[in-house]
Amino acid sequence: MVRNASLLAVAALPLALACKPDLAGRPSLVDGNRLLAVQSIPAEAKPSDGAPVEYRALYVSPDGPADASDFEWAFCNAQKPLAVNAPMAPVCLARAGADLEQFHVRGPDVSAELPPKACDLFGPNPPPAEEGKPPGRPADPDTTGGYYQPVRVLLPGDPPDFAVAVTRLNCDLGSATADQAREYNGLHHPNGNPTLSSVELRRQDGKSEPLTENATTTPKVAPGETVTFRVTWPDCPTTPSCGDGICSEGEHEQARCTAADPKGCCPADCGGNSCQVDDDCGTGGSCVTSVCVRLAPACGGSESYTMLDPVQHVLRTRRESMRVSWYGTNGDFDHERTGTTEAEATTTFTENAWTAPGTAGTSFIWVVLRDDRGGVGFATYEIDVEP
Amino acid sequence: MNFRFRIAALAAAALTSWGTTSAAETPPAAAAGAERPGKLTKPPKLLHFEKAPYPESEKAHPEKASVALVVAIGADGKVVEASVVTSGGQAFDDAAVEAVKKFEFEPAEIDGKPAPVKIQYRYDFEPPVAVAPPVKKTADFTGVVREKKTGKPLAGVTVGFDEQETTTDEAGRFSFADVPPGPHSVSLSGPGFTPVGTEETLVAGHKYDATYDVEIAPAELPPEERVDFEMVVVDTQLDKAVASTSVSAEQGARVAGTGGDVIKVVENLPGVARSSVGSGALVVWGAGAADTRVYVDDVHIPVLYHEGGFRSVIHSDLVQNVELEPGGYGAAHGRGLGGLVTVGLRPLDAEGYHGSLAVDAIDAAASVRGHVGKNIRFAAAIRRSHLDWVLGKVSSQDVGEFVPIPRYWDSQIRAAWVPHEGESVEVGTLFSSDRISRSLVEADPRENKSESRSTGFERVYVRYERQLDDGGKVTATPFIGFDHSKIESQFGQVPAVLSNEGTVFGMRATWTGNPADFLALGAGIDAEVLTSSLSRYGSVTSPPREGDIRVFGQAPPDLVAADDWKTTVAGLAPFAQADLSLAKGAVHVVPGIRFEPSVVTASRRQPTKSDVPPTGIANENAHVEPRLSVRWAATNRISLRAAVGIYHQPPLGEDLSAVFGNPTLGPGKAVHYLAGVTFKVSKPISVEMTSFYSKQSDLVTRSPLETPAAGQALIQDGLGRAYGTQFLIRHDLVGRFFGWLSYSILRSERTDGGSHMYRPFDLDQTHVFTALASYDLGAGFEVGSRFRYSTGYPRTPVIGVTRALLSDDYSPVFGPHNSIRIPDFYQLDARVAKRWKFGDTTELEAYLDVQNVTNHGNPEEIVYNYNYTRKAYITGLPILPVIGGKLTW
Repeated sequence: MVRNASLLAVAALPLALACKPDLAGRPSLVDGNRLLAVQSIPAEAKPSDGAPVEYRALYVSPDGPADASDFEWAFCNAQKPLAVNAPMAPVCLARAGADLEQFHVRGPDVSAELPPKACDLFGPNPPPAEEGKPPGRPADPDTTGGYYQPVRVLLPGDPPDFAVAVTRLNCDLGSATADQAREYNGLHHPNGNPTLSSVELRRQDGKSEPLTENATTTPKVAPGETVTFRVTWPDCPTTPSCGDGICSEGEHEQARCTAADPKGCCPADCGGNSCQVDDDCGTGGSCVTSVCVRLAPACGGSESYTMLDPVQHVLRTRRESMRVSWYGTNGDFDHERTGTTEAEATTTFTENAWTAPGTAGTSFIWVVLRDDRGGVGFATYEIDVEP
Repeated sequence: MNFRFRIAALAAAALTSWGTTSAAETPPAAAAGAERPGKLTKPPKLLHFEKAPYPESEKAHPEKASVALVVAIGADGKVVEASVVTSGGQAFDDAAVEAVKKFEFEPAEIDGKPAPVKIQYRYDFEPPVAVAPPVKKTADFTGVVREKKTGKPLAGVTVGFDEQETTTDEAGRFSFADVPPGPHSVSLSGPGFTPVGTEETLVAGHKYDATYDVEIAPAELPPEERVDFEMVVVDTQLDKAVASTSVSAEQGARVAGTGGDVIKVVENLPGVARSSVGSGALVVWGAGAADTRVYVDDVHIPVLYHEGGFRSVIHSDLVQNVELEPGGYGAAHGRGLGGLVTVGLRPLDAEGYHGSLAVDAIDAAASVRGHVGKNIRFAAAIRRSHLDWVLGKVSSQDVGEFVPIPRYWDSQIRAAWVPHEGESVEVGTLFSSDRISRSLVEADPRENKSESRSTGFERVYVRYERQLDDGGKVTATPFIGFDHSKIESQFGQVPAVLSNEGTVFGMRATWTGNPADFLALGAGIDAEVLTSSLSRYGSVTSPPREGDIRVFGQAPPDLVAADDWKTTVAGLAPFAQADLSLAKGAVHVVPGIRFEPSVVTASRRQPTKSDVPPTGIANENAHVEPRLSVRWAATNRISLRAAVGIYHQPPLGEDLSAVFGNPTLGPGKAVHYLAGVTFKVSKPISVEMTSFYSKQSDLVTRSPLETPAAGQALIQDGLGRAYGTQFLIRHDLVGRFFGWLSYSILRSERTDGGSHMYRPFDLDQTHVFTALASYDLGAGFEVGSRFRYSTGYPRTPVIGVTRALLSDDYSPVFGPHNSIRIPDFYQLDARVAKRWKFGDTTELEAYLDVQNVTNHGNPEEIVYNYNYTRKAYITGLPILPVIGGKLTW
């Protein structure tokens, strides 16, 4: 029970004085088998492509990586009721059912093709209408303008546990004008999974050492010692600039950017060739407002992306926020998660202090890096705690 | 004359001359005998008839009566003598003889010459027949003066009534009959107390019975401390409420836990649920907070309390009383499925200049009242919170970053022109503004939270009031106002923005009159037009609404949408009601009817598409709302009450969004049934019991569908029902003490969209008990206490969990809807006050209001750990002493 004595003296504001209980338990402490993350590869896919999507699970236990060979996977093809605040329709919380499209393999690493009607069920397309009834309401996007195919992961047990993984859907733009849709299709580049450029262990004396997965030699810390982990991800351009490899707003406007007169535009990023809608603009390119546009490859850091502002009804370029979830088999992290907001996109790292356990042994540390468009990257490290 | 009188000739009457006997030829001529021989050649003829009055002594038991007389008529035709032959009773005999003696006859003739004769007459007395008296254009004002402490009547007290004076009798009673309607000054003076005065406004045709309690203080006290004065005036006006609890400003300000705020006392009335700490929601008889209408006199305002519920939005100095009608109210009001709260403003002062200054840890307030000349009267008040400033001074951290600190102000200005008593024109303003903001920055950007909420309203009204010559009264109150509400929150990257800017035009005009002693009538028009401009951005389920299944602190869904729309909700309702006083006033039947046509428009029928122009929609409805209440004073102590009524409530503008709601929504409906009994134990003590049943339909709920049709995120097929019984044992302010015990046992349930299965209403509280009391210790000291107990709110249990990997958290799996409850609440509050008087009118009051004296940790919400494997409770306020002071003059 935590109370602020100074506020008691004021004796005036109930809410200020209301007591919030200190519930035990920290999500960063792995004290049982737990599914920490599932990485979808690619992070974003077009359902109609028919290309398989790989899923990679990070399943851990207090003793380190855990056996996930019994994991059962299925696409959940049921929409959740509009008023339900849940990651997936409740009917999919089952081993089998009409709304579950089972994968035919089990284990931590599986692959399957996205349901072809995913954009109808979970995207901006109007859902299939029942006969004699008006079309239903399309799904709402998330705050990044994205839509997701839920993937039910069943962790065997009695009762079984369920987890919901996702793949971001590359669908058309909903509630947009035809011009906006065309422009968006040209500007949009699928999300890529974030990558961990480096993970460092910093000691209080200022010395640091890099951590690597499956290292032959593990870093050593003293029992009870407090160290700081720093996770770094790739630096992505913060503002659109010609040559950044990303064709951004204003860089492809036909009036200023043509093959004949490229002044004021960016042929390096956007090409600049005049084109018709179905013209071939080369690998990675597409025709946007009569100009060939070449999309940049995914960046493993805080990427720029285009979305339709639902309030102003205009296309906007935004940056991803990044967050790191910290897990360990023992010891204490200062924070369960850390990260950077969209406004802090220039920052390419985040830190968290960890206090080693008081007894000797091996500690497993897991770092899961997420962007806010569903991309996931993770890594596993071992730390030896020795006197 | 109020009776009929006739003379009937005896069937075989005898006409007798003093000398001869002859037979009568025509009535009233009949021979009575003769003293001397002769022939009656002409009988006497009645020329002047005198009506005999029906004896006053017999009017109490009026009956028919007859008196037979022998009348001696002289030769000149005058009555010489009349004597009774057959008595009809002494009073009738006397009346008849007196009348007959004034008769005049044309003389009888015997043998062709005028001669004296005797005849027999019979008077028939008919009982007087009551005729409807004319409508009284004056009022009767009677009352009693009592010693406040003992309740004994005081004899010999001089009661002044304008220029008249009288003295109380042995029973302490006084009377002024047939006084003109309008305001009158009343003064009391007598041995042992300083003269005091007040003002009474009387309505023609009404009888008033006033009770004045005066305290006779020991002689050693200075004069200014020797008087405590209280009055209760009972008027026989149109009484429309069957389930109503009214609290005077004097009592309300003394209730512990209210901080001296008169209107806060509403929370303690029967039928009102305890609101969770900091919410200030008014939940009456299991109805939603938005279903209860709030009026300041005839002006509708959107809220009763500032954010957090710390203070009401009207300064207490301007309040005369506050009344709660939890249901079954009359035809004069509508547009709400729940209860009705009416804040009555005190009459503006015709004399003197008064004011107050008050301050405590939460806010500071000031008020002034006065007049300019004889015809202009005014009052003004203002209040502003300073809690944020206080916390900043005493706290080393920026508390506002972590907790929502309400910042509010309100103001009221009133000015009235009174050309003459009985007629006035008042212009007034009501302003209120609230802001709450906080932000919480975490290392995890997804856990960053910020919240800001600003709400407010303004009202400008003109109130015309006139006392009619026939005893009736006319009021008209047009008003214009603005409502503002903007909620902005950010939970990680998930926004929730809801903005509502409304303009409201309203008009209430009423006429009341007493066309007959047994009948009071009221009629009027209640018009209101609310145009709103709204915008919203965020999740469909954020902010949450009643019936949403969630846990406290749960992140909202990160699926977002946006919409901006305009709405108009207009209604023009004529209404009429009568109060039929039957069985000598023992039975009152109050039928009423209200016709409620309304128009609801929304600017967008379908969700916005960038290249499609929006089309609007208009939804017209018309409902007839009959109301009926009956009261029967079975005995002097016991009265029975019953009422039934139909009510409709237009949809909220927030619900008319094509994206978040449904622009085709119509009004919801409720039917109230209630019955009760009141037992008057003694003059100050009464016991009331009221049972009620409220059936609601067409309630707005969320669509249960996965993909509802466009523009149908909300649907209108919800049902509701609330039933229960409330008890009130009340000791009115007599002597030094007042207090009450209230207890409500009720059940409020709702159905969700697509289902007819009832589940507990989110704010259902099975048991609500309040006991409060205040006692004047004398010498300016006063103590009070309040105890509250209530059942905890329902909540939905978490029975499982799902790992949500996109957000890296856990999502709860819920059990049956609202099937568990937060533990019960109980709390004891106390209040101690000391008043010092300076001169005749200046007073300084200091008080200590301590909430939760026992420091009991009351659970307010259930919270869970990160994976929902453990739960605990957020507890409400600990012991909370608030010191304040108020200077009045």
